[in-house]
Amino acid sequence: MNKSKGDTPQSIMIIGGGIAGTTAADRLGRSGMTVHLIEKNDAIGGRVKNMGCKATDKCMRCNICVANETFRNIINRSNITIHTSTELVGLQKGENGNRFTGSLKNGSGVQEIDTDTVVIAIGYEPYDPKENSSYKYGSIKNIITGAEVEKQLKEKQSITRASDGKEPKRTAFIQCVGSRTEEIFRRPEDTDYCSTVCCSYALRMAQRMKYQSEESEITVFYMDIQNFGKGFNALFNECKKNIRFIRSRPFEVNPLPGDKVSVRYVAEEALSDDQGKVCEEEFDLLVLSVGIRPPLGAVDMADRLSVALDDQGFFGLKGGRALSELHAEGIYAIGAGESPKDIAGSIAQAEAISASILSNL
Amino acid sequence: MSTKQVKVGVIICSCKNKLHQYLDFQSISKELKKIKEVSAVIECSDLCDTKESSDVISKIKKTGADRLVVCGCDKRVYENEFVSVLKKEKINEGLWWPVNISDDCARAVKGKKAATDICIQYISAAVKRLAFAEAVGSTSREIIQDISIIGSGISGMQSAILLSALGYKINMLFAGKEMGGYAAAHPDLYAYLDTDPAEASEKIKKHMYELSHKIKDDKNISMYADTTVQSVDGNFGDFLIQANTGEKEISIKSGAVVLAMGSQCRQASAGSIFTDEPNLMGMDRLYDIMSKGKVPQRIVFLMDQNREQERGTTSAVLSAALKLVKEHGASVKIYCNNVRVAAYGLEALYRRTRDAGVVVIKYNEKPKIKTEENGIFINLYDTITGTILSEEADLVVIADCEPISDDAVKANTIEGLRRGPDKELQYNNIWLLPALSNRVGIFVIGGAKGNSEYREALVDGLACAWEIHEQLKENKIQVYDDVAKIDAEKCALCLTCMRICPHGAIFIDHENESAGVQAVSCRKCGMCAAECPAGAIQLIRYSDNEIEAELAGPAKVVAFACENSAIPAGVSASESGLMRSKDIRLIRIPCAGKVNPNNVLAALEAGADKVMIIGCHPESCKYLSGSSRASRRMERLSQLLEKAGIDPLRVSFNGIASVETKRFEEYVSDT
Repeated sequence: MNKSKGDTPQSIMIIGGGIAGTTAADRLGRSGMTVHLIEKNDAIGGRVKNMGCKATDKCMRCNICVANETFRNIINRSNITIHTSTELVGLQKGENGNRFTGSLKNGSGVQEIDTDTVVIAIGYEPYDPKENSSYKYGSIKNIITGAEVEKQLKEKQSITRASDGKEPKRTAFIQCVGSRTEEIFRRPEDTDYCSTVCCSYALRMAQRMKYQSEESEITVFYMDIQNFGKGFNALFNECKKNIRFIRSRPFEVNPLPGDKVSVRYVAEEALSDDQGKVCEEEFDLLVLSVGIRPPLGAVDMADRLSVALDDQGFFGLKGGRALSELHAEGIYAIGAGESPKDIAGSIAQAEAISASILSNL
Repeated sequence: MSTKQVKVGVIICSCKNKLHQYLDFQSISKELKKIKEVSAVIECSDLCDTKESSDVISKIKKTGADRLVVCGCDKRVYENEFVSVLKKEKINEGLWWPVNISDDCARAVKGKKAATDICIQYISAAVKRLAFAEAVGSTSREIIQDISIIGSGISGMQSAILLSALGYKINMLFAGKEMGGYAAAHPDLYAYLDTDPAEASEKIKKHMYELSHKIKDDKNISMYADTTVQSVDGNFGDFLIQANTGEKEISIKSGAVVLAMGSQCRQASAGSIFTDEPNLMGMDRLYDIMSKGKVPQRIVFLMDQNREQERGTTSAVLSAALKLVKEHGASVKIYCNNVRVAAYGLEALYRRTRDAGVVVIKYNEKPKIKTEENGIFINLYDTITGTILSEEADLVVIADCEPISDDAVKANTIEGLRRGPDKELQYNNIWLLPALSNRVGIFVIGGAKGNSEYREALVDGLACAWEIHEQLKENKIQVYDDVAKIDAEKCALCLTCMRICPHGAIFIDHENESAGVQAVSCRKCGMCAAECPAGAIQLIRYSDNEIEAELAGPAKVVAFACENSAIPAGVSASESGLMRSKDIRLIRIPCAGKVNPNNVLAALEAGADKVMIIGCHPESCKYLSGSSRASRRMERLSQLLEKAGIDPLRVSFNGIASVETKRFEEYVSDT
């Protein structure tokens, strides 16, 4: 096996063309590696591809533009091969001097590729509120998820109600839907994690909606506002000026005439008069800030690569261990599939493993 | 000035004949040949094919041309390969200019005739500007490949180990005698990192021990304990650190500097209020008491007193509370605004803490501390009863801390390093990811970035190793001279450039009695050139001569378009089928901050009805302050125009992000 530094370029297989995978491809490509990027969909870009820029008259620092620049940067690079509509169906011990041989399947058949390192970057699955029929999602038109709002913003660069295509006047966000929640059929340690990104995305989106229509009124139902990411406090302070925060987890929503939604909640604080009382309010649009769940194919992927998943079903590693000692020899996991994280966090982790991979050659 | 007759070759790529349906290539070619500088116009079908582009270039060179206008698609698509072809064909890198006929003409303007006319305008303007272009030279420079890391917490340690594995020599300078930062000193506080907390703190302890021994045994890493850094001077590839080891003054040279001093956030800041009352304290004194084993019964933590705290504070408080209950049998209450659990393991820690009996109160109004003879009381206004609830405590811990302590680092002594809103050492800009600072060769990782957490700090440490390796892997670098150039004759040494340069690239050149530009640090934004009151600075490729030459020709609306935002937004807009007015002409600029008022006036003079700058939103300017400068300049210019009786709305600054295609369309559609 030829592993001496700076010798023949090493071959890296990255599974998943989201922001983590493409950043790793970009960085490793720049360091002279031969990169195979495997994407099961017909285009790279992952979840971020369906997210919109939240700039108002200022930048909201959502990093969507940074991610899109990376997506573009890895196209037409001689040492990066992008395999779209392709899945990794098997990984064997390598025979031709490489550590592994991966079997890639696409429409035209199965192809074998030798590789020294496999990077798992298969992203996350947004929580599907249908799962526990949370907040009657699916049966009331004007209740949508944070992911759906992102998609609207991306496609139309504006946010409207599903029922009539009009801009909502009163909008409410419910935080922590599918996050930080104990579920009956699961052990608490399997579900008690914070998805980390939802507070920031909801607040940025709220500012975007205020910008779209000055008349819009926005309420955020929350448990705790998570100070996450660079410059969060500045964003939060701005939001305190024009957004109403209610510390409560609504317990019931109902459809109302005119495609409005009623939300019933116990106010834990808000106005002192309301404390501890059941309140009911009407909204034009209800956004469920759904959390980050492990990627759907995580269990299969873990089986295929013989690596372990953590309690919550992510590829994360417990404890203080460094990523450089990840999983098994030659296998790394990055991005939101490793543990919930934002674009900046995924980029950092992709760079981190790039350095680790280079040092291990 | 270009006095001699230059010869310009024009290559027009049809993108595998796809552009023929939008543009009339024959009439483009015919019109361009009328321009006296043009020596040849050659059509090709695939510029991305290096063989074809190589053939075309050698053909053009035979006509005597030494410079090229390259007309094709978005230059990001073909640039990398094309530049290597240029090198092979010996065309200087400064002597070509791209025109995006696909996205600025073919797909952007309705009608073949109109699109073809616009196309001819764009290409002619490019020919005119290229006549003023100067060849770019480069020099090979040796750089120091050693790296200095200031700080020895988890991020610094990881960074050192990885960089050593990549073959570098590292200097680690840190305060105190031991490495490992807070995680080594208080492993209990990091038990949340593992789902099995019983073993976790032992694991963390062992891990920190192993890391520090790995560093101690590593011949590539020199350690300087008990060391205070006095100053960091110099530039990428050649920094000089002055430090005091307690015994002597040392100076260390290095190619890159990593700031990893941590957040110091466990050192409570409120300082003075703790001195009189022995049972009112910050986290550090609590740790002292805990380590001595004797802890009073009723303990209250107060958080978020002066500002919303970070995750680090929450995790420290929850961990300490859990330990106080489990090991010392104390009863603990935590008053806070928000419980911050946005990190791996923190929600589980929160659950365990509550399960152990710790009461967490999320207050609306800040509780007040009252010290009386018989004890300390926490008074909380109860919104239900409208009364004040008073609770006695034996010990009150104010857990708040400043994100960055000023003593932690004398970062103010690092020339040109811009800090964030909380004084963190990394400026808050979306492009400074993950460890980049605004200065080339200076990196910020871990707590020093503000609002960090163990696993994030660890990742930072590794990530910055990649960035440093990319920059330092060769002991020689090519330094190109297509940077800002200062005319020593004109320079009045007012040092405006030095103050505004976002990259700390300007120095005082004592020999020439003028300001000078450090080519390795200059990122070619051109902000200094636009701001220089003496007009002594020009940015190569974007000199005033070049920009003004490009303005020649009829255009009703001129848009100076930043190549980091407006240019890519224009490309995406055309790709998604959005059309623009045929009256608009984009002028590529490296940063909105490059455009000075004279450029704008020149555009008006050349006949434009309207001139705008389309640049990044000021908060996300790739060069930190270019957009905000452009925006202010345009505001002032507009006021001046009004005084002169000219419609002030004829000039404007417009912010955009590279993905905002709709906004781009709004700016450039017919109005």
